[in-house]
Amino acid sequence: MAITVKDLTQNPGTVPFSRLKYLARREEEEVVEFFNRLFQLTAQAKDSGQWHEVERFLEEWEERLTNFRIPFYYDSSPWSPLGKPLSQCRLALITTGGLHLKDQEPFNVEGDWSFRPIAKDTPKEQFRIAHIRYDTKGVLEDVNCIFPLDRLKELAEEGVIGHVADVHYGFMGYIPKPEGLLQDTVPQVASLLREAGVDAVLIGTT
Amino acid sequence: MTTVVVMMHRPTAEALRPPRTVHVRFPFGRPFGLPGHAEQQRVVVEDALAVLVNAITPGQIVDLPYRWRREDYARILAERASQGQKS
Repeated sequence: MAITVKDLTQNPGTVPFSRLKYLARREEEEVVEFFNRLFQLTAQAKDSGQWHEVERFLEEWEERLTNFRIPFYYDSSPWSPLGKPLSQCRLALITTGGLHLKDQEPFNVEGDWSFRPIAKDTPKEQFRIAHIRYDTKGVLEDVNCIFPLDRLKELAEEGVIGHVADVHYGFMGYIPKPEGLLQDTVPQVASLLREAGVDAVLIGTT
Repeated sequence: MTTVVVMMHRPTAEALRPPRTVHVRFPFGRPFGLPGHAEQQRVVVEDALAVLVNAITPGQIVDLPYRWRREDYARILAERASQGQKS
C-alpha cells in the first residue's frame, strides 16, 4: 500500500495544529524533509531530555508553513485618532469568529459577509458559533477568547475605559469574495457604531 | 472610528495595513488567549487598548512577545498593577 502525503499529514486541525496543518499543502519532498528532521530531533531530545530543539524546529516550520500572502494589498492606512482619554471612551468589539445568537440565522460557513448584532447583556447560553475554518472547540465555554466582553466590562468597572457599547458585532471571517463586505456590511456597521456613539472598536480576528 | 485589530498572521497584517494592529503569535482562532484564562485575555486586551491610545503611525504593527501557555500572565498583571499601569 503506497503511503501518501495525505496519510502522513493527517491531523485533527485543533489548536496545536493551527499552523502545522498547512504541511498538508506542501510537496512530498518538503513533507519528507519535515518528518525526517522531526524523527532525528525527537530521538535526540528523548536521549538528552532537552526538547527545546524540537520546539524551535516546530516553531520554524510554523512560520515557514504560514508564510503565505493574501491576494489583497493596501499601501496606505486610514487614520482616526482617539481624540479623548480612554477613560471617557465607549468601546465596542468585533469578532470574525462566526459568533451569533441562537435566535439569529447562522452564518453560511462557505462564505458570508453579513454581521450579527450582539447585545452586551446577552445571556451566554444564547451564544453560538458558525465557522469551520478554525478550531471552535471550547470557544463557547468562554467566548472571551475571541470576543472579550467580560474583560471589557471589568475594565469599564475599573474606570480604565468609559463604557462598554450596548451592541457589538459578529462576523464570520471566511469571505472568499469580500466586495459585499466592503460595499455593504462594513459601512453599515460603521454607521451603526457611529450612531451609537462608539469611540473605538477592538477587533479580534480568527 | 478609531480601531485596533488583533491578528495572529503577520503577512496578512502587512498586506492589509489596518490603522493599528497588534500581532500576537497565538494559535489561529485564539486572538485573546485560551478559553477560561481571564488573565491571559486581560493582558492582550490591555495591550490592544494601549496601542489604540498610543499608536502614532498609521499601519503600525505592534508585536506582542507572549508565548501562548508559557507566560505567567498573572505575574504580568501584578507587575502592571504595582507599577500603577492599567492600560
